[in-house]
Amino acid sequence: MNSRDLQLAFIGRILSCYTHEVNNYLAIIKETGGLMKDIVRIKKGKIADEKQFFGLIDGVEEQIGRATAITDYLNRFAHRMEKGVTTVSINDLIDELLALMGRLAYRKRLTFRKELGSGLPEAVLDPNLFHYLLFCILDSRMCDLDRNGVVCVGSSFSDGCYRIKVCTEGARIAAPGASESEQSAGRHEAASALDATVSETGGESVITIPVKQSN
Amino acid sequence: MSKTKVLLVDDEVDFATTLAERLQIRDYEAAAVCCPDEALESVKNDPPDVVLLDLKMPGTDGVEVLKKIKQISPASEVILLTGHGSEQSAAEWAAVGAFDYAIKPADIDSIVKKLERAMEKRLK
Repeated sequence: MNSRDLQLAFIGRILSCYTHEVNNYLAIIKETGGLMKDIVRIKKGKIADEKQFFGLIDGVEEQIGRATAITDYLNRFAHRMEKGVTTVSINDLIDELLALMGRLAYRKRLTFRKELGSGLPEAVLDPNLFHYLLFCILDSRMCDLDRNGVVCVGSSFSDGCYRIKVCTEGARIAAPGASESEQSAGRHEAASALDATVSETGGESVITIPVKQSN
Repeated sequence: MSKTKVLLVDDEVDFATTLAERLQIRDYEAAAVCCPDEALESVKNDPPDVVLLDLKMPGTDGVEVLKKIKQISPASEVILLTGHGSEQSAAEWAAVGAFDYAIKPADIDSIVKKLERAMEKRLK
């Protein structure tokens, strides 16, 4: 696959995470609505157990809230694609990507932990390339990690550079991800376009991006 | 006549328990479990007539769970619950013992019809 194909595959995976997530919320809302209808039918319009009924409505509201939150993340992710280089918060970009990759982590029984630094200056970069680079690193780390592992993502700023650290906690799986070499090529290309360097030491990856002034 | 015993297996607890309650209202003996290990234990201890099995659960392949269920209780029919399906995947699932599949979110009437058909097959 060339780099464009890899980036399209990345977007495809993010979209499928979103659709699976929202589909689950819709399934719960549909069943809850159906149960409410069933209860009303059985009781012929008289709701005997108001507490149960309000509990079901609360459940629907909760699922709608979750669907709205993930839709908001996808919306921001999508709108960022309309622009190239822009002024952004690195922490917001990390937040967005981790929220959208939540389903991938959940499916593998992994959890994300964020250790985002405060007071980071806004960065001038292409958010899509940043997302793609971070995705490649997270995806390869997640491939190596066994169930119940933790993927930790941290951010900091020092000496004129943003540093995004990815490390893992938990047992490793012997077999690496099948697309490792392809991902590695895509990762290098994205890093180079961002003027970033990626260092890999032991169980840790660090993206270093020098600060750039907006034009 | 005894009630049809249905076991729902889905990691989405709210989905599984709500659907189980809707099936109970329709006179099914429905129970919900949230993980494959619990499902296999339940099939071993009290084989259900039909299992409604979510295909995608964390850290597991639903098809592998389906195969194990059929090993433990060959007479139990398994209907897969999936976010998307196709003729091709349906044929692949049938080859490993699935009776049918339903696309989530599924209509309760269509699930009931599938359960009835599964019971007809069992009683033949």
